Amino acid sequence: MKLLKLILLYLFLISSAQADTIYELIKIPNLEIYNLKTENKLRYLNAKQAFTIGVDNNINCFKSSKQDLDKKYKIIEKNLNRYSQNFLKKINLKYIVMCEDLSISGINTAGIPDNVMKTLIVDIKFNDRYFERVLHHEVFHIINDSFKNIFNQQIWSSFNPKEFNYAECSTCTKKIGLETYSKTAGFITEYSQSTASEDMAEVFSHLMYGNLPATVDPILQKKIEFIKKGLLKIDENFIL
Amino acid sequence: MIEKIKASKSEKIIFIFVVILGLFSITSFVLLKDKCWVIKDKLVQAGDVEFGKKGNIDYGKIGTGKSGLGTIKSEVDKDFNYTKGSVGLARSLKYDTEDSQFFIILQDEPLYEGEYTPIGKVIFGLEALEKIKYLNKSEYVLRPDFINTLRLFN
Repeated sequence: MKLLKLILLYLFLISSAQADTIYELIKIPNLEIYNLKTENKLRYLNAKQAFTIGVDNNINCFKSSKQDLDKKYKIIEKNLNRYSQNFLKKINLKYIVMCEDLSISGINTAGIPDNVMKTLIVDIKFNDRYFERVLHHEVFHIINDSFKNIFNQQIWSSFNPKEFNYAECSTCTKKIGLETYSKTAGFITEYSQSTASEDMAEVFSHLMYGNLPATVDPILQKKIEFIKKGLLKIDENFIL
Repeated sequence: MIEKIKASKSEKIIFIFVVILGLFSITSFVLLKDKCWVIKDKLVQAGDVEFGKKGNIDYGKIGTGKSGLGTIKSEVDKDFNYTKGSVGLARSLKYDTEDSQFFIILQDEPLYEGEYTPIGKVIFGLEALEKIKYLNKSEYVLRPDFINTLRLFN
């Protein structure tokens, strides 16, 4: 019995120490290592308890069950393995944090990217219908934040009809639909119409997921070419 | 005793200069801390030749000092296992800010791989580091332990 208690205490101390190291590196508490041995050196972490971060403690996420983690990890890894170690280094993404019921200022979100801390937080319980595509959408925000000059929002906005204006922010509009339009008119989803960066992320995610509509209009075609060229500027070996 | 791994030219230059200048002699050890906590048995850090020298310690700034010899580029792509006794160069949140400060870990830290530039491993005497003075509740330790001398062996 005493030996069992000592073993449990030892495991607890090791776990606490690793959680402290994780916090030291990426400033998110209550995480543990899920998997470090990956092809492209991405490091997967998961919430072992709920955590709260952000300037006004406005970001919250909760612990997932092992079963859910294991199931979703396979999907996440399969999709993120498409990014090479070299590319990930260039865009400054290293840590994937898996948790559920992720929200920012009370609004549920699929992911929160942070290229400064090299981290992408992923809500593993996000709508299964869009889950895989949305992973790439969130990765694009990391790409965009690391290469704002390549993915210039003014140039992007100039592709749109003159009378069109994006909203001030992605949550300042009711345009949140993620269903892919079968007939496009410069935009691939309703959510694309929220902001320029969301529009770019939606186009990119469709390119990666491979579910572009059968026919695209000339404006959307320009946007697709813009994204493709931008990616090749970052990494000439990037494969869509 | 630290066995040095094959370092880049820039790492060698700054490390050798700092040792030759004797700047490393008598700098204090700092227990890694983040605002309010200190973790015993985790890591010791030294090399703050600006604010950590005996007789000239600035408790408010220790851990933030520079050598005055410039910073060097991070080299975190080397295959290196951060096992207990590994030595690495400290940096700020940004890469390419390594200077004279270095740390020695007292437990395995696999997350440090790819984060910190490795420079060697302790091959003898690690148990001495485990006796470095620390204090759980304070931000700093009064009358800390110091490095007496540091020598580079080829």
